[in-house]
Amino acid sequence: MENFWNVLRQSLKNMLGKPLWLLLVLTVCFASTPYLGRTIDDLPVAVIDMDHSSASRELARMLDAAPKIGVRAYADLPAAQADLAWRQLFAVIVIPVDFEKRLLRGEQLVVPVFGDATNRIANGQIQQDISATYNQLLRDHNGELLARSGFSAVQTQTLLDPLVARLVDLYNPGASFAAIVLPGLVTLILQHGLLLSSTRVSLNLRGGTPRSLRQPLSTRLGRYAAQLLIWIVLAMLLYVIWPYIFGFRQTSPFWALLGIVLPFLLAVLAFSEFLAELLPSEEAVYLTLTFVTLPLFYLAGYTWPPQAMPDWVLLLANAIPSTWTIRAVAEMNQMDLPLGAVGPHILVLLAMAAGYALLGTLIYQWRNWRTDHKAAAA
Amino acid sequence: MALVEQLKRDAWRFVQAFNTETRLATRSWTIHWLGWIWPLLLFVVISGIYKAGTLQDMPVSVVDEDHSSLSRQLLRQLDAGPHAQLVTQTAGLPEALRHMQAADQYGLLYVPRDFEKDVLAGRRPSVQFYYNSLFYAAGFYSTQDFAGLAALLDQQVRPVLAAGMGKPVPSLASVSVSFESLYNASGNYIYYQQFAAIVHLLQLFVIIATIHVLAREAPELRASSPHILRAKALGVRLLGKLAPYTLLFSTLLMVELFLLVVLNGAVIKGSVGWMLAITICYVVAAQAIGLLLFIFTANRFSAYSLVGMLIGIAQTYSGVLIPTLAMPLPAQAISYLEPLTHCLNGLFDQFLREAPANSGAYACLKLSLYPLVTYMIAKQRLRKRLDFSPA
Repeated sequence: MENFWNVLRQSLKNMLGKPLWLLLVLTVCFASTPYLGRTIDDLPVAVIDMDHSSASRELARMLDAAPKIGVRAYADLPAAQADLAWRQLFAVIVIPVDFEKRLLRGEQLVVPVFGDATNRIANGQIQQDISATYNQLLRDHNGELLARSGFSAVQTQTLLDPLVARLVDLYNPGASFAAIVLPGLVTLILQHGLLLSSTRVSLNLRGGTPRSLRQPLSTRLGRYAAQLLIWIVLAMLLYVIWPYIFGFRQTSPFWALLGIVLPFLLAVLAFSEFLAELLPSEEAVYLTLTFVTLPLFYLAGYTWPPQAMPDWVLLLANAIPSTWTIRAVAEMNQMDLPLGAVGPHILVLLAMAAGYALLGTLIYQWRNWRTDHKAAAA
Repeated sequence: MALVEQLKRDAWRFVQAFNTETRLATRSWTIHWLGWIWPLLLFVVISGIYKAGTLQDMPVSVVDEDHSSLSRQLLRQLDAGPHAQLVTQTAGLPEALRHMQAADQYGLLYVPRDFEKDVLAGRRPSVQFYYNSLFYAAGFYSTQDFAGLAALLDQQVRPVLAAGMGKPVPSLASVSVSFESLYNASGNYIYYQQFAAIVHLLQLFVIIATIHVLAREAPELRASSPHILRAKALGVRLLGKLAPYTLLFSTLLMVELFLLVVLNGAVIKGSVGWMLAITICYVVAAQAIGLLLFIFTANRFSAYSLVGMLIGIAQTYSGVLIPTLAMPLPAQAISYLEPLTHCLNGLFDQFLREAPANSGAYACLKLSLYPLVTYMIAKQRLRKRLDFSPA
């Protein structure tokens, strides 16, 4: 026990003396800056008004008032297309000649819109706003038409919308990019830092060393405890204080987040112990683990749904602690679920911690046994 | 004459450094690991993630409390559309909400009791489609067919209601928005997200490999590896040493992009030649960043740790997750400082966007600035880091 406390004290002193782990905080600071606007508003969209009527001007005004659209007036299509190609615009809307005249006559009108679909999220948001604006304009004009034909206000409303179809966005009103990306990014950055750091530590203690150089279990536990303490503080900073400073949605209480963070960090520590038994050197830790964080971001089922992934990919995703943590944090923080409701995720993380620790220990014991056997034979 | 002699000597030094490094690289397990084994394994994983390409048949819960012919028509047609796959929740709203919260289902369509009766009586009942906008891609896609279907039902019911009101309905205007999605009309994630992920990953591999091979020349590893760099003609030897990796990683990225295009039946809209040129400039720019990280850190492990920072930052600022134009101004400035942003823009221009003629040259020009700036910064500092002193 005394050794445990000594190692814990010494490891903490070393880590606080050389705070490379603070790079994590710096990374999250940088990675958060693009999301300061929380949601995307006023994306530049070209409007080419070929009608120059009061209806077309009204439409341009309404489009500009839509939250996601910022109207840029263009005189002709080629100039707008060139800017679209150079990424200065997200879409080009052409209001055709005789727009007002045909609208008043009640004729069928087709309005061409060209959107840059390389980024699906921006394109989707603009598409939603354009459709909503045209529907509004159409409703206003058809309403006037019906009123002129002798229909009462109630009858007009009934005829325009016999059934009210409502689209309601849940858990992330206004589609905040920060809510979509940051919980995943923070979890993966935490996992990346802890995996690198603790795998390096575990490498010094792994199996296969001569008997005289082996460290007692308390040394290993002392080092893990130091890592755990530092990363709990970091996790709380990034999950609780950081969203609070930036004003990101954060509904889960501190203690509930701790309930998921602790099993997550334990699972990552156990995973690192397992990896340390597999990787040949300290350099191999960097040459291997540096690259896995990016695929894990896509594997987490956050930006691309698990239902669209093949089984073998899901199996891989489910073997990584961050996948379960991202789901749990999103469910608690964004979807208002209590800690109890994400209990199955916590159990999976604890099982993962036990499983990886067991595997790591088995390999450790086997390597020690092999070394002892060779030494005895020599 | 002296200049010609000098050039000849430099060319010889370059070739010598190139050949020696190539020999070392072919025998190095680490270079094989970084140069093709690990990148191709990760390529397979990322390809697996995006195998479906487009999002279709996203699961959507249905709570139909009306069970009328009108509600059944709405559900049937929505289910027949390409974007939503309806799952009837017999246990009602609480169960449907639970599935939404667990992200098993990305939408919830609620049809209230007496829906058909209220429509025909002109009471304007509301039918609500809740979607998960946190899991935005899946949630948004699941809603795509809903608005059109509701408008169709409106059209179908309107004459019946007007007949009840005893007045003829005048001809109403109808505006249909023809939304033409340019550059990636099918909304295929392989052509955008997977493409970007592969290009981003390559940058990390190039930077790490550059740090690794330069560290073999530094005092920390010099004793264990033959060294190529000397105090004299350091620049030429450095170019010769890094050139095999420029070729290796440029080939790797082109092979990966070729596989992506061929396996998915895509068509390159622009020029393959420009794609190759941009790739080479991008690899050189990434090598320049690797060189900078190497010279400004005390050892290779500190440099590797800093690469970890690049993962989240480069991805966030590249414009793939959030469009650059939607970022606040300081973030836009950082985005334009990154080689990944320019490389992705250039490659997307050639691959998908029917690029403007000068786009390829523009991307190459911007990417070429990185090695030039690095040369100016690194010139003296590299000698210090390599420590050529006899001691």
